[in-house]
Amino acid sequence: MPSEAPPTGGPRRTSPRTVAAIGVSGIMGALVFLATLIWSSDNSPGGLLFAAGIGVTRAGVEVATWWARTYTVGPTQLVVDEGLITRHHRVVPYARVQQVDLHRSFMSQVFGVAELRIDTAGAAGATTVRLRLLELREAEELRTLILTRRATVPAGAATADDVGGPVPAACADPGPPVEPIWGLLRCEPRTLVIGALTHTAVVAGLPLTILAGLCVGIVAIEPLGAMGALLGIGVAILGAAVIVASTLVVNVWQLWDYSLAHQGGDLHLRFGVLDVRQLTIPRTRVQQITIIDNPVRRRLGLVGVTLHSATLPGGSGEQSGDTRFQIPVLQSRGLDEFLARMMGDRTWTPPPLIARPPAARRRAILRRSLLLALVLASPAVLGWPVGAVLLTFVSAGWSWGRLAHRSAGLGTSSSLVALARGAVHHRLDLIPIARIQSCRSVAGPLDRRRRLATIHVDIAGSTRAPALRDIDRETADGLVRSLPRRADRAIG
Amino acid sequence: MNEIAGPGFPPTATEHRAAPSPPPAPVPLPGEESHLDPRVQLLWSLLVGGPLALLALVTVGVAAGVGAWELAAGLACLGAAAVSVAVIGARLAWSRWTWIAFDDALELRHGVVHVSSSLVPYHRIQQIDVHRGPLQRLLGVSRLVLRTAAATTDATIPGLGEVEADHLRYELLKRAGVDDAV
Repeated sequence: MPSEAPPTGGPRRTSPRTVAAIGVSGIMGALVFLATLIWSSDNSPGGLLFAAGIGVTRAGVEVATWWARTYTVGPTQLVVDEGLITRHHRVVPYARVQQVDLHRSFMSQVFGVAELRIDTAGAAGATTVRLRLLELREAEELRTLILTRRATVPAGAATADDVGGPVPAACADPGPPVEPIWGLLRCEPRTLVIGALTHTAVVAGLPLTILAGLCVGIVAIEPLGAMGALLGIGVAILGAAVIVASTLVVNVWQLWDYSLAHQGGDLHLRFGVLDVRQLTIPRTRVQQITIIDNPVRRRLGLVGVTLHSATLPGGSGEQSGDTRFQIPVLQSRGLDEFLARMMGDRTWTPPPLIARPPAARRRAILRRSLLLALVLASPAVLGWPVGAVLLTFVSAGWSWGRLAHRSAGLGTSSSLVALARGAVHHRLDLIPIARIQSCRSVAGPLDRRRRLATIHVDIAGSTRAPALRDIDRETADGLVRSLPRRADRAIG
Repeated sequence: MNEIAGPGFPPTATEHRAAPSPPPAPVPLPGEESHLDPRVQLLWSLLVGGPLALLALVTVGVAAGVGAWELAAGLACLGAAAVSVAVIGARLAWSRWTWIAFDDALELRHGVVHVSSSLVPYHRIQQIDVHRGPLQRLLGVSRLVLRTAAATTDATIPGLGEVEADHLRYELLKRAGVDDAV
């Protein structure tokens, strides 16, 4: 951690090396464009001039954009002004910060700079402030300052003229953080490879690829003979190789050197080699933890965990950015202990789940059998009478529905709500009661006949509220009335 | 910009029209089941039945213009049936739409086919909007939209009288949270 006094006051510009770091990326893009142009137009000088013009214009825009962007570090809020034609004045009170992300792309590492992203609650992009790019030391100091002041500055302390100037005693920096950093998890390359090979994309994708290869082989064997069979095998092997390679790139290369630590009330995540990410999320800002497994991971005793903050994932263009906070793979045996340690709270233990009523099982079976019948009806009719054999697969809906019913359930403890679902891929959503914004129950006409309902738990930072279908309607209505009130009491 | 003479709540649209009446006095929340303003039935009937009636009129006119009287009569019957369904639907939806303002939270219940029930604690409210479109202004009803930090929260009261909407908004704002509650 840096020991020097963090930068305050302003307005100041980001590092001048921003222009070089972004400019080099632009020049490389222009060179690729130029090469394409020359290749397609037989060394025409017009193409060269055109590409050079694009490069010069791009460089000019980058310099002007950098010049127009300033930031001011105030005692209680950060102010960023940017924009060439349309000026944006953005104010971020430290007390409202949900997540801080230090991002170093390959080019940023070459030039010794880093991008600082500060997220507040709301849609990604709309509420993300990006400082492109700061000297690495300055970025780290500013990150520390924001996290320190987030914890010390009371909400609502910011004022309209709070831009720079001396720091009030009440908001003064307590100096370098005194809280020690405790390591929680470090993923070795072997662990990352296991995580990638047991990822849902591989587990679900490989059988589909083999099926596709089988279909190609059956179709091609008649006109091509043995070559047709080889073609089918080739398609299956190629498809499998693409799936495995892409999953390895995403889950091993991008997550290389993965480490998770906590410092006081903050969780720090670091991963990547060429593209280094350092995410920080306060423990109290975690809105939901999702635990996902699949048949292979269950067999090996592994799970994947995702933490959700109040920042909505997504965004577009300049404001896009992946704000996921993921733990690629964990031993399921020590999961409860790990969650309690990670969140610094013994109550972060998944509560026991209560099964849904028997009517829910019948509906789960019926719903899946109908889905299979719908999917298989067309090929069965087209391939009649042999195609009728396909309809026997509708009976798989019975097992599928029973599996789905067995794994679904709802549980509550003094501080958590747990919603579980999924027949093959199990998903468990853990929601701190204190973070619940509101609750809904919805019952359609068929639900009402069976006295069932769907419960939705609304939390910040989610475009789709965690929900569970087919629970007892009275239980759902009771939870809708009690959970938000308990949330209200939990935050005082 | 409206100038606020002293501490209190800024004047609302209703008071602007009825100036110089004082700001609304605090009114205790009902604490019992309340229905929407009955005029919202007319609003919904117009919003759904209006375009249907217009479409029926045009098609009947075209059919009558080319002399297809039987077709015109059939389309007229179809149009009348569609408008009747819209009116009955609006009446049903109104009768099923209720809200209860408790001391600590607002409960909303609505839906004819899919029945929905939601509860929003006042401390979670981040923003309250009052919408009044041209048709709504004509009928004297308002739509009150409560926003929390969750994008998925369903907390809109679609039809309140203007004065009632202003009073409820005032009371809810008094109870809304001061923290970001996320």
